[in-house]
Amino acid sequence: MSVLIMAESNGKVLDRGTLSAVTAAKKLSDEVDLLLLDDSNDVLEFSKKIMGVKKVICASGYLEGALAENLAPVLANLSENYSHIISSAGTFG
Amino acid sequence: MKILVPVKRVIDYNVKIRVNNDESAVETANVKMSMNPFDEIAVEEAVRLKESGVAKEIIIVSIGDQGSQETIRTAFAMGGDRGIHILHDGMAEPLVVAKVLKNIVSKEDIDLVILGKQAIDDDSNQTGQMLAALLDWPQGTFASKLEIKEDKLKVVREIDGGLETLEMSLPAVVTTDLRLNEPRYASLPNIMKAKKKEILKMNISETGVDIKNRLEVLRVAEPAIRIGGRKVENVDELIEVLKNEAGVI
Repeated sequence: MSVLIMAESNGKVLDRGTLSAVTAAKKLSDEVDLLLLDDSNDVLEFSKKIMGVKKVICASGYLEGALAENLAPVLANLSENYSHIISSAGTFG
Repeated sequence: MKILVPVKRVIDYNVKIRVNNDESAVETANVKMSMNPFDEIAVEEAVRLKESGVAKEIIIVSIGDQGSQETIRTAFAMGGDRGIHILHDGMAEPLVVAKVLKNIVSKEDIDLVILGKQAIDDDSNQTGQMLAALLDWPQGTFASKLEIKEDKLKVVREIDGGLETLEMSLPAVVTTDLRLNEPRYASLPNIMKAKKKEILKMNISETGVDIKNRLEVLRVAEPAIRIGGRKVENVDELIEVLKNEAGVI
């Protein structure tokens, strides 16, 4: 089963915590997908280059004032395809 | 307005944590216990809301063994009005705690739940978020400032690289960060008064919540002892060390 990572970014690169999450996820599965809440090209390009990430999912439209309340249903919808969902314990949650 | 403040009894933050002999858990026998510091901040904030006339009643709830009643009394001494003790021996995971809290919230007609953002024993940082999701209430996590105007709640949150201000409608769930306030010391008269306040006691089984833990602890270990750095004489020695000792190249 594959693993989904909820990625956090600053508009340019992914947070360090997210990168740690990728490394952790690789120990669980070879299929690691990344959910981006940021539709900037920089972050997308950055994400595609990360070793071990298989698929990058872009949730555009959730950029401005992304809140847990909006995001949770999105994650819940995606969850059936995954065995694990990982995120960093940052201030976003 | 009725405020619910859940508090957790944890090993005192001054105590040096030791792992038990069979490495299955942290040693808790004969160790000083006290209220989770983040929960103290939550109690303090609730008391301030009461003092400013916004809140009418503060209900303190704790899930845990008999000792938890002592923690509830501590919250009483700070200004809590009434307590609920959910008796549970053993560890309750955040999801279980959130479900029990949800039960209490609906029974007691609560308008605001203020929780510590995390407990210093398991550092989960999950209960508040889970409770908000279960109740389908808005959440203001890691609050460093709280303001209530009519039925709107303003929460200033500390995030990476700045502050974020959220406005939400009540009822809501708030979790506290360190900068929200400085908890008061309970005065002796208040400690005496706290002994007379009422604690409703019930067993966790009476809440009807499935208390089965979803996680299994395989092993608890102390952090590896740090070895100090040392200087190498030249590049050749550096490469030698990196290859044979550190094993990174």
